[in-house]
Formats: sequence, structure tokens, C-alpha cells
Amino acid sequence: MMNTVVLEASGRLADRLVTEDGWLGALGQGLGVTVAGLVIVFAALLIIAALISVFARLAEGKQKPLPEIEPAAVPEPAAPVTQVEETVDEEELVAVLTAAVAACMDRPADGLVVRSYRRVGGNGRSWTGR
Amino acid sequence: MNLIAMNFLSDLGDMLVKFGVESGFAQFFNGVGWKNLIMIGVALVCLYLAIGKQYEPLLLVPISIGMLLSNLPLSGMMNELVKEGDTVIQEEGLLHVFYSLKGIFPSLIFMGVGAMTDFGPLIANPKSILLGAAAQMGIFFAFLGAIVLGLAFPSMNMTYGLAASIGIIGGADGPTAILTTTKLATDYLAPIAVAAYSYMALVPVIQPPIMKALTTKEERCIKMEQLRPVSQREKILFPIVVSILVILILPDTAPLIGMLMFGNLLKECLVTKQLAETASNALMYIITIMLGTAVGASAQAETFLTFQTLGILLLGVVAFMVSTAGGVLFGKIMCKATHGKVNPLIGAAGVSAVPMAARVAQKVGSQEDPTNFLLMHAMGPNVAGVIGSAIAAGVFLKFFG
Repeated sequence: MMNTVVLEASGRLADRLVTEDGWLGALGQGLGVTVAGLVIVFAALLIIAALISVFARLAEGKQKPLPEIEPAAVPEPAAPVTQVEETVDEEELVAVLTAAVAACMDRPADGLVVRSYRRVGGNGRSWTGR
Repeated sequence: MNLIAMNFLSDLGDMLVKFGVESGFAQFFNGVGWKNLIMIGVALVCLYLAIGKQYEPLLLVPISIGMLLSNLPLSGMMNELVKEGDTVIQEEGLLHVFYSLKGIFPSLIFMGVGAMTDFGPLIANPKSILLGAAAQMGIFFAFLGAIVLGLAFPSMNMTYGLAASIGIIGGADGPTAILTTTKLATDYLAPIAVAAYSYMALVPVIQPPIMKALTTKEERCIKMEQLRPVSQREKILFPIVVSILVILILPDTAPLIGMLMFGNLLKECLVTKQLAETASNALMYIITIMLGTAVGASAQAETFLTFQTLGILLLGVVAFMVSTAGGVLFGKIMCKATHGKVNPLIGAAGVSAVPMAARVAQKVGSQEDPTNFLLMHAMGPNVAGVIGSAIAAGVFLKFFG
């Protein structure tokens, strides 16, 4: 497939237009590269996706079940406001916590308010990912 | 006595005239010097956009200053080294020294990007990788568009290399665009870099109307299943496996994918914290300063104030829009195929622009339903887009490099 698209290094289209290839030639080559390019991009990423699925399955066998959402992350509505330790991305964190609580309690999120949150334990797995 | 005074006055006059003629001001009226004046204007507008409007300031400020310094006449910042035998006739300008290193900067930036990227969401949902491929359609669409434009207007001096570099703007990935352009269309580095970074800054403006036009309200409201947790072992294996695989498929991607995955391994293996920290912070900013000023300095009037720049800006935004549409439309296909488990909005995040494009997906989704959290789901296609555009660049380098 790739052998059919033979191009000179940075050949000028404007020159080619008046020489052998003409309009259709240049356009054809462009189309060739486009099709080849899209096929290669999709194929490469498909192979990566397939491989990841494989090692996901390998990992599944060994994975210990993660502990359910830590209870301390769900504050009592009446609990006194504790100190907020992290100030970065607070809104995002609150949104994530609200969603987690909503999912966990099977209640719509608009009925919930996160008043405070506090990290429990320090196993190094930060919520924010970095 | 009279003679001394006269000599003194005439010498003083001569000196003042000489001073005036040799100053930068005079150069503006000398030949095409007025073009430098326009470029200084362009630099000041870019500075305003960077500082006043905060469009990618970390990049646009160095780029504008590079543009400004090299266009101030006689500053010599972009002078090439001229030698006759062993005698140096012209010293090399500082910014030209940076410029001559431009080939390695994109790879080093990619290493930093890798050290900051969490591929977890992608590993947890491998299907989302395909969205990162679909959102590269704009690259090839703009590539074809550039060829057609070049055929219609022979005065544009379009080459395959330039067409490819213009297309890569649609990948929404600055370093990839710069690497491709340095190899395929060096003269157009400045306009392409400026276009790429400006449009990346405009992601929140360009994308939402397209996303909304192509999806229904029901589709935008789709909530996605929570992602499975990803083990550290998978996160360590991922960069190793991907570099081996992708570089074997397309060796030309080695400078990008190899370094991206190296940076990511530094982060994920947990035993090279210092290296990951340096790659993603100090080194990244050092490179940004040198690359930014070098790219800006390469914006010379002869190549920047041309018809081509207009074509590049126009095709660049087309590339961006088509990429977004490609991602969303493929998202719709996946939505149908999975019986409504995929929200098509996350497809738009397949253009790289990490993490801005993912945030846009989150924002558009939450406008319909404030309890919908698409951010983590959108990060999968988003980081896949980085790999996708690097592969697309590899394809172009293979054909035209």
C-alpha cells in the first residue's frame, strides 16, 4: 500500500503542476498519503488498545479488591467544619466528592452539599492524581 | 580659535548624523525596513494577547519577545555565524544559537509532557483510544486542503512538506507541530507555531459550538460508567510497551513517542521522582524559554508577512474544527455501538490540547446536566490524541522527510 505513494522530498506542487504530474497527480498523491496516514494512525492505536485490554485482563486476575469509599470522606451534614488541607483544585475535588457520595448513596447529587473534607491515611495515592 | 570651533562643530555634526543614520530608527526608512516595523507591531499585538488576554502566556510571551528583539533593526540577535577561513566576520546572534537547537526542543518538551501525563484513564478504557485516532482527521483534511489551495494559487509556493506542517496544526499539539515543521518546512516555523498555539488557546471558543451542533441533548446527558482502578504495574508497563510497539511500526515517531513514554515512565516507576520532577518543571520551562524566543525570532518579515501566513492561519482553524468534528462523530458511532454507554462529547477531547480539550468536554456536558462528570472519561481520548498526532506526524515525516 505504501509503495504506491512515492514522493520526492518536498517537491514543489507549483512546479509539479506544470510538469509531469499535473493537477490530478498532485491531488492523487495527497489523497494517497491521507488514506495511508489515516489507516496507519487507526491501526497503530487499535493495536495499542488491544494490547492494553490484554494486560488489563492479566491485571484483573491479581487485583485485590479496593476498599470501598472511605467513610470519613462522607462528612455528616452537621459535622463541624474541619480545616481544609489542600487548596488546589478545590472545586473539582468537591465536585468529585459530591459525585462519589451521590453514587454511593444512590441519591441525586443536587440534594447533597460537601461542607468539608479531610484526607484519611497517607498511602500516597492522591485524589488529584499527580 | 575660530578654526577649532569650526572643526569642532563640523565633527559634532558629522558624528550626530552618523549616529542618527546608524541607529535602528533610520533603518525603518531604509529599503524594506518598514516591514520590520510591521513585525514589531505584530509582536506587540501577540504580547497583548498573551498578557492582556492570557492566551497561552507561557509560550506567547517568549515568542513575542523573540519576534520583537529580532525585528529591532541591527540588534543582530538572529545573525548567522559568518566565517572566512578562520576569521569570524559576523558573530552568531544569541537567538540564532537557540534557533539552531530547535530540532531537539520538541522531544524534550514531550519528555516533560510525559512526566505530567496520567495515562490511567486511557488504560482503564482502551476503547477511548480510538477517539484519539478519529480526532486526527482534521490533520489530513487540512493537508489536502493545503494541496488544493497550493494548486489553485501557485504563488503560495506550496510544498508537500508545508501542507503536512499545516495539517499537523489540527493535531492541537504544539511540540509535534514544531518538530514536523522544523523537518519539513523550516521557513514557516513561526507562522505555524503561532497558529498552533493560538488555536490551542482558543479551544474553549472553537470547540463548543461544533460539539453542540453535532450532538443531541440526550447524547450530551449520557452518564458514563465509573472507570476501573488501574494498577501501578499496568501504568509502568504501558510506556514501555507503547514505545516498543509504536516505534517498531513507525520509526520516525521515535523522537516524540520515545521521549513522551520515557517521561511517563520516570513518573510512573516511582523510583525516579527527581528526574520526573526536573523533566516536568525546571527543564520544561528552560526549554519553553529557548524554544519560544527562537520560534519568535524566526518570524522574519519576508516569510511572515505573506500570503502563506494567511493560508496557514485559515487552514489551521479548519484543521482544528474538522478534528473536533471527527472526534465527536466517531463518539456518536461508539455511542450507538455500545447502546448509549459513551457520551459523544468526549470525542472532542481527542484533539490533544491536554488538558484543555478534556475540560471543554466536561464543561459542555455539565451545562446540560450539572451532575455529569465527564472529565476523567475525556482524559482517555485526550492523552490518546497526543499519541495519535505524534503518529500522524510520523507518517508525514516518513513520506516527506
